[in-house]
Formats: sequence, structure tokens, C-alpha cells
Amino acid sequence: MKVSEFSHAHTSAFDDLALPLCPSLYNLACWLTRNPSEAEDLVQETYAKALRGFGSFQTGTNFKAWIFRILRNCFLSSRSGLAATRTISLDESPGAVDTPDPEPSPEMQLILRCQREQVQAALEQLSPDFVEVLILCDVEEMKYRDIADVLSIPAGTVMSRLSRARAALRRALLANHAQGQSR
Amino acid sequence: MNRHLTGAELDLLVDGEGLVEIRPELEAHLIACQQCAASMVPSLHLKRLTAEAGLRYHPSPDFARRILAVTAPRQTRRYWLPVFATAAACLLLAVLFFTTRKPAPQQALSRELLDQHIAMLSARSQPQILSSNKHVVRPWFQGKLPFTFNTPDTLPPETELIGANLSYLQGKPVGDLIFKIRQHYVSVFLSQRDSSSVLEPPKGDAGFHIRAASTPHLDVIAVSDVVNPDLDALLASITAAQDP
Repeated sequence: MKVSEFSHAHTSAFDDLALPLCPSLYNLACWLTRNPSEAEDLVQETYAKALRGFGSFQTGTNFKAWIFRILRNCFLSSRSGLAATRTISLDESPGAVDTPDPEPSPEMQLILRCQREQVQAALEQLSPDFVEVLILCDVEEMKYRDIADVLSIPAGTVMSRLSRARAALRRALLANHAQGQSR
Repeated sequence: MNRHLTGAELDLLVDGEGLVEIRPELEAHLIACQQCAASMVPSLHLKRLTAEAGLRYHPSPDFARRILAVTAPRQTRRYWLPVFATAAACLLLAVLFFTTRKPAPQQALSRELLDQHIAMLSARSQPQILSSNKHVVRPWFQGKLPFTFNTPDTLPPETELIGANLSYLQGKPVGDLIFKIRQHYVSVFLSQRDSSSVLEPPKGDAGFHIRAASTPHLDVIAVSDVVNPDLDALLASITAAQDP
């Protein structure tokens, strides 16, 4: 194979793997930065870095987890990422109840009546740590081991963080509902 | 299984996760227990709603074109590629050499312990149960852990109980007691002892000390930046409390 053919195949392989992920990367970037313009810069930087580092990507491993990890690292080193790491909490669930309720509780009934817009509003109130783990698990349908790879944390910590993120989401839904009732 | 599923175990089922060894047991319990099955419904509903709500932002066609432009210039400068490819191959081999070696189990455990302890120390973190009363903290774990433990009546000098978390180490639920020795926070993880293995305390890292002790039924690991003699005294009081 000639050099030009090889390089074309190299870029083509990157395009085939990376370009379909653009909507997913942009979606997570928006949730993390809460700013469309910053999100675009973040995704663009991610693609530039991923392309430069594509030679180190191991064929057969999870490309999606690899490029999401690059996005997250770019975010963490960005201005808004640094600000977020100074203020976010990894555990903000004091008194969270971890056992099922004996009967359908008002909380469970409320969740069953929830609409997408209410969940979006509740997601907006969560810290980036919680939002990203929920997006990776529920939207991107990644396995725990891939999420652990993206977030550079042990799989056991993914379980804990997901559990706390969902508890925080439920609390935000309940709080928003109570606020709506009192108006 | 003679208890209800914990929230994290429900999460495992909702997410289609779980080790091969434990998943059948969880599923069997779910079939038999109406209460847990009922709890699963809102969890599934919330997961579906989160999937819909989380997919909120879409890139504009113009932005997609800009991304294509990021990859396009690469196709025009290729004359140095053989040199680059050789260098990249050498680098890849070096990276593979260092990264394909899996961390030793002790190293992995050490990382998990430190991660959990540092998460507890983070600015806005509060224990899930915030109490210095052992008669409040210990019962809080009922139904959350597949084992039980005693908390000491008397703690070493200048040591106080702050609260507790339900945590997970190596995929297993553990009790995480939070203590304070003077101005230093200590995480003490209590897990059910696996009789087939001997607990080897992992090494500390990043300025934190890790000390471990065992009883016939429990493994106890303490993590803190406090000096080792203080950690050992706390561990000794906890292990002594496990004797009937």
C-alpha cells in the first residue's frame, strides 16, 4: 500500500468511527459546560486531540469510551471544567434512603407521572459529576466498565456515583414538584 | 436472599449489569418479592425518562461541517508519515508494555479506598447518616448490608464518630464509618470476610495511610492522613467490639 493510500485509510478509519459520535459528544459537552458555544469549542478540541492521538488507539477496544474520555479530559482542563471541580460534590445525599419503600410512596407515584421536561429541569440542577454519569449510563447506554474507563474511576465507584446521582435526581424532582405546588 | 434489594442492587438490574454470580440471585428475589418488584417500576420509568431528557442538545449542520474540516487537512500532508508511523509504533509498544499490565489486586483496592475517602472529604460532602450516636448509626445499616457489626462503646482519646455511608468496594456493599481524630477524618470500611482469602492491607498513597485488621467475620480497613498509631488504636477498638 502506498503512503497516500495508507494515510487516507487511516483518516477514513478515524472518520468512520468518530463522526457518528458527534451528536453524542456535543450533547454531553452541552450538559457539562451549559453553554453551546463552549460546547462546540470543547467538541472541536476533542476531535483535534483524538485525531492526533488516533495512532495510540488500540483496535478492538472501545473507541466510544476512548473519545469520551478525551472529551472529559478536555473539559476538566478548560476554564469551566476547573471551576466545576472546585465546587462540585461527589456525595450530596445526606440521609438518602437506600431501601425500597413498603408501598407505592408519593415519591414513586410522582416519578411515574413525571414528564421529560421535568426530568430535564431536574438534571439541570445536578452537579456535572452526577449529570455525566447519568448521561453515559442512561443516554449512551454504556456498561459500567466503560463508564469507569471514561471517568477514570473504579467500577465500584461508578455504582456508588450512579446510585447517588439517581437519588439526587429524585430529590430534585420532588423539590421542584413541591415548589410548583406552593406557587 | 432474606432481605430486600438495596437501591444499588436495583440499579444493577435496571442497567442490565451485575456479576454472573450475583445477578441470578437478585433476579430470583425480584420474582419472589412483590415489594422489590414494585420498587423496580419507578426506577425503570426514571431511567427511560432520563434517556429521553438527557438527549437534549443537537449540533447544527454548520457545526458538523466544522468538525469535518478538523479531519480534512490531515489528508494533504503525508510525506513524513513513514517516520511518524515508526515513531508511533515504538511509542505504542512502550505504552502497551506499561498499560497492558493489569494493576495488582492490592493496587486496585488501594485506588478504590482512596477514591472513596477523597470523595468523602470533598467540600460539600456529608455522610448519608450524620450522627455521633452509635445507636443511630449502626441500625441505619439494617437491610442495607448482608452482614452486621458492632460499633465500639469506647473510642480512643480525641476520636469521635461523625456518621456513615453505604459504599461499595470491589463491587460488594460495605459499611463506611466516618470518624474524626482531632482535625483528621478517617474512613473505616467494614466488609464481610471472605473465608477463602487472607486480607493483605494495601499500601497507602498520596500521603494517605491505609491500615487493615480482621476478625473471624469481618475485614476492617481504615484510610486517613492521621499517623499510623492513631489509626491502629481506632482499628483495635473496632475489632475488639466485634468479640461477643
